[in-house]
Amino acid sequence: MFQKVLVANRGAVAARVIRTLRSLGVRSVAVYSDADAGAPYLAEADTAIPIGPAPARASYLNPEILLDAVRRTGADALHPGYGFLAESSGFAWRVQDLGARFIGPSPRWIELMAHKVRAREVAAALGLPTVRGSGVLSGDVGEMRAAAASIGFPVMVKPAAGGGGLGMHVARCERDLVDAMASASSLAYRLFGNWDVYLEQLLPHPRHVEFQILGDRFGAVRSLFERDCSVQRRHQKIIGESPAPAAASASDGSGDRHWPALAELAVRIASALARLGYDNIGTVETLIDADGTVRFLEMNPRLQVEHAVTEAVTGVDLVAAQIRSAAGDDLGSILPRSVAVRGHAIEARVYAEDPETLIPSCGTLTTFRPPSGPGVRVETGYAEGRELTPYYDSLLAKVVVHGADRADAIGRLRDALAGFAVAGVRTNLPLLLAVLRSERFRAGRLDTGLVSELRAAEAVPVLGGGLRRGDGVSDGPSP
Amino acid sequence: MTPPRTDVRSPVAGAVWDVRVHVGQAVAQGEVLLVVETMKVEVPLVAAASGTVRRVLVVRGDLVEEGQVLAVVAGSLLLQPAAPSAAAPDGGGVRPPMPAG
Repeated sequence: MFQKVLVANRGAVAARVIRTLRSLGVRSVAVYSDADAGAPYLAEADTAIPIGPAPARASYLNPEILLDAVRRTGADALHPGYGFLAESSGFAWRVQDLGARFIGPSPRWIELMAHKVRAREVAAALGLPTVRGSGVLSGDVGEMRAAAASIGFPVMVKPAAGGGGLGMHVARCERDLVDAMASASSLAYRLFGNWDVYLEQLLPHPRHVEFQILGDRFGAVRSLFERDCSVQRRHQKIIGESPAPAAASASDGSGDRHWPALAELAVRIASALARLGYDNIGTVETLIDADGTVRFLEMNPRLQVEHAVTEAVTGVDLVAAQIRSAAGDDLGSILPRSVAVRGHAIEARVYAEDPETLIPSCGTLTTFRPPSGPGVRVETGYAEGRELTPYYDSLLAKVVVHGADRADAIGRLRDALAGFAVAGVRTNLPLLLAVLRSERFRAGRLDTGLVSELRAAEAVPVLGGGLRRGDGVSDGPSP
Repeated sequence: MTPPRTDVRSPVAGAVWDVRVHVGQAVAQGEVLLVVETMKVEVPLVAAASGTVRRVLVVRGDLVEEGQVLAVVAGSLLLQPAAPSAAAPDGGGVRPPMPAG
């Protein structure tokens, strides 16, 4: 096992990793930018060191400063969390070059899977059905038109090195293509340092179902079941749950019967990745359309925001499992012989943003009292009196509940969110509660159009006074 | 008679990412005037009404506060008789935040 792990991240995920390091008896080094000095989780780490100015490029995204911190503290491993440098294979190589371990899949895997076009080619070679897509676009308009025509409109223009729902543009017809490509490409460079964009089939309101994967360094890969993350706004998940509610069996209102086809697919994916030697944590994302066809979307070679729902239903500490796998433990010793799904878990991402316009909200948390109680877990990097600055994303907290079944979990989440007292910034709590109240969510009829539908439904007083059509920021069409 | 003026205010603290108009430019309702970046999201500020840009008070990179006036548009009387008091970012599209999840 490692002696000392540097946590190269901030906020809720830094807090989460530091907690597990402590339970493993491993010393932790937290890092913080000027904006995060005094953050509550820093006190939980054995050491906390400053890494520079507030803008992420100068601190959390600055490889030189982080590598120097590894050297100075003598850490023998680095945990990247998610976001920031978690999917930078170049950074992972450099950490390994220092003689420290990058906690995640080996850099060659990051290189392969973090590039969406290459990842799709791998999935197709493994015999997994994939979303239709082009190769990387050269910028030639004729080539782009031909690619779009063969995929069929509408198409998404996506950054090849992207992730997290960023920088994606929809082209509904040929006329939209050139603008969408230019915007996507420039944003791709700004966000991911790579101009590559490609076209992908835009499915009309699919379900988003993803599979939690865990591998070791000895060729073993197992799946820890699926999560349904269909409830999204702006292509970003706001609610995730496990197991996925069975789509067709929602008539009884609980929708919590397990979906056997997904379990089979999970096993197929795990054995395909085992053949290739996948060697740490990862998530395989799929889209399921109305007729039940499952298509590979992409793979995230890292810990994911929604990991906590899988932890709740399986009882496995995924961060500990990921760290132990990176340290060279084999899967047989990390996981119990058989892992079962117990009950139902749901996670809500609480964002500091206006629930109607979806515009982020900065400010000082004059009140911040997260819910607690049986079956309720909250992950946050904030505390009362702390400030949300423009420098980082607006995730305030994740609220995770575990119940006996889906209806029980929904009830617990509703109570937890209703009891979450926040003042000083606006939050999406009213939107989350509106989703939980909606007939469609309760029936388990999930798809990526659910939030837009709720926001557009003028007749339904979703957020107190009701929503004005066309107001504020648009969700855009769903992927 | 003075044409109605619209203050274009930032709905959130952040940094000016893009200034797409200059003083004297005619703009149409819904046209993006400036883009403010905050919390890894681009927030476009659009013209609430057609008119002419009278003032641009920021440059790219400026840090701005919530509610700060970034530009002033004078509405055209012919095109937009009733000017709202402030430009809301309606119809704009915010780009998704940084990868996480």
